[in-house]
Amino acid sequence: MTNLPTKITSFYVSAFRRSVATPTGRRLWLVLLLKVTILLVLFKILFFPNRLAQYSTDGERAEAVRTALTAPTSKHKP
Amino acid sequence: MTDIISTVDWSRWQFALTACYHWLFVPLTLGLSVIVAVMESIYLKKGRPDKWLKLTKFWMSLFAINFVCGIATGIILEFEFGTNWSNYSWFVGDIFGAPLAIEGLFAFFLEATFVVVMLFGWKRVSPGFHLTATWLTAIGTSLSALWILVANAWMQYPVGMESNPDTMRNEMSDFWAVALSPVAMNKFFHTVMSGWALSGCFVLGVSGWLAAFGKRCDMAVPSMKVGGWVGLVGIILTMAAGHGSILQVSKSQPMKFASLEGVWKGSTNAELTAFGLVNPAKKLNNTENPFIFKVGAPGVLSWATRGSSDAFIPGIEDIIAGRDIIDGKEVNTVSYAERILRGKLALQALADYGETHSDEALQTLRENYEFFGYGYYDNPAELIPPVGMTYYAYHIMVAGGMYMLLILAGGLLLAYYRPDTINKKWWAAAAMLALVVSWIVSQSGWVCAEVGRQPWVIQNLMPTRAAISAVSPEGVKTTFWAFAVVFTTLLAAEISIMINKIRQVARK
Repeated sequence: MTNLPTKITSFYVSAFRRSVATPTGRRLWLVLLLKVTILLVLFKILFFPNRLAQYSTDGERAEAVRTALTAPTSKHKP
Repeated sequence: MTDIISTVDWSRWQFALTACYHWLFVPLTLGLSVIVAVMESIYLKKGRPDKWLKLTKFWMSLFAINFVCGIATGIILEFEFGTNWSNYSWFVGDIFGAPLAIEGLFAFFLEATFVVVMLFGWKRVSPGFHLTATWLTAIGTSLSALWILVANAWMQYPVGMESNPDTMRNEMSDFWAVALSPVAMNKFFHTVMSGWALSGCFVLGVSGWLAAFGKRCDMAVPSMKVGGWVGLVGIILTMAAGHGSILQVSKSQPMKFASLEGVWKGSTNAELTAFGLVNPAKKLNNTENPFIFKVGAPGVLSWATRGSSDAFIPGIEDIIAGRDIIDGKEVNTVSYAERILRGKLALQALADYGETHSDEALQTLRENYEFFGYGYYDNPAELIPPVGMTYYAYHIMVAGGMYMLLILAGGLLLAYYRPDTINKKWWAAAAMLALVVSWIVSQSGWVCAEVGRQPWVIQNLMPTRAAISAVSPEGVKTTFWAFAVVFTTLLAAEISIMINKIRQVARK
């Protein structure tokens, strides 16, 4: 007798197979993969590295944000 | 400085573009999931007739196309917070991140799990379990929207938090104040119900085409009944929640409210303008007329907002001067000149605290923190949102909403009492126009909400220009155009797949 986790896994695997069995399904998967690849992976790596990740501690990140928000401080003097 | 402005502007355009494209898909997911669930419920209740199974599967297939095409755009928005808006993400990420995390962990998980059962579970699970999965998908989409809207509402009405100048973070002190704020609740019902209304118009538009050009009245009439009812309930509740929302805006974001209504100078017996042409020459404290022409109803804005036609409605100039009249008595609110002064004190105190960690700096920061963001400005005129864009977006939303109400009510009447007329081309044209109008209305609503709150990314605390990361303007420009091309191509692909699906049904 097949147990529940195997049944669930088999259901989702079979759903995936059925989703790519039709031309519409394949086109939708293509749209999805293109979007994920181009927009998420490529652009994030090429254009937008995480600026705060260059600092090793949260304290340094906090100081970087403090500097960004308050500098030049003279500009904000009342 | 030019670079900073350029980076801010291009980043705003990029975020707006992504959000607008994302919002093309989301409202249809919100409403069509409910329409499909209602259809499947009818199918089971009527003893599983083939007609209702086909109908359910047809609209479910359109739901699936929309769901898949919209699925990753929301994640791109979350990425942009970290990449383009890293100061913002650090400054308020502890608060803003919580609802987004709940959305990802629970609501989207619920939606994504059961949407597979809904789409591929026919004959694999029992009919009752399948129906449950369909309803859970619909509930999951609304729960997703709830947490996103809670996050957005917090930016418009920041409550339940304390600032921590040591970590440079604002930290959540009261989760329920954030989750159940009146802005969040109004925004949630207004937005989700607008998704129902839009989807009702979508069903009516597609049904109109099916009846007039595909000769499929057998499908169109029952679809119009279900879509019409969901849409009609949706548009009525959207209007009710919209009124609640605008009342809340008048209290918590009076500058946005004055811009939406185009009110520069406050008055009693204030006029509600039905439509008008905004005068672009009108600036703060000049004598130009705010409108080139307008048609309005005197007293209605006072009555609708403060319960009496004699009530005073402050305009942009009054808000900046710190003047209001409540119950006939003049009330001094905090003028923008004072806010700017106190904002600069807070900013300087934050910088000083970073160097000295003194109690004095901390106290000055705490005393003036509610106006922290005003410290970035020197001139109150910079704190006025773009009045023309806000005003037009608001009035387009209201006028378009009226048209949707008319078509949804009319579509229901035709479906019940004159089903022989729904294959007429005039009806198909009117219903398909409603389909287009509903998306324009939906986008206009977000323009009101987001442009109307400028220059703030977090009301009174953080202006948009302070939230930006140190990214190059060239990178943002390049990605803006690349996003525009990719999004448009994908949108064209979605529309083409949907049209093919609809034509297939018409051919059968």
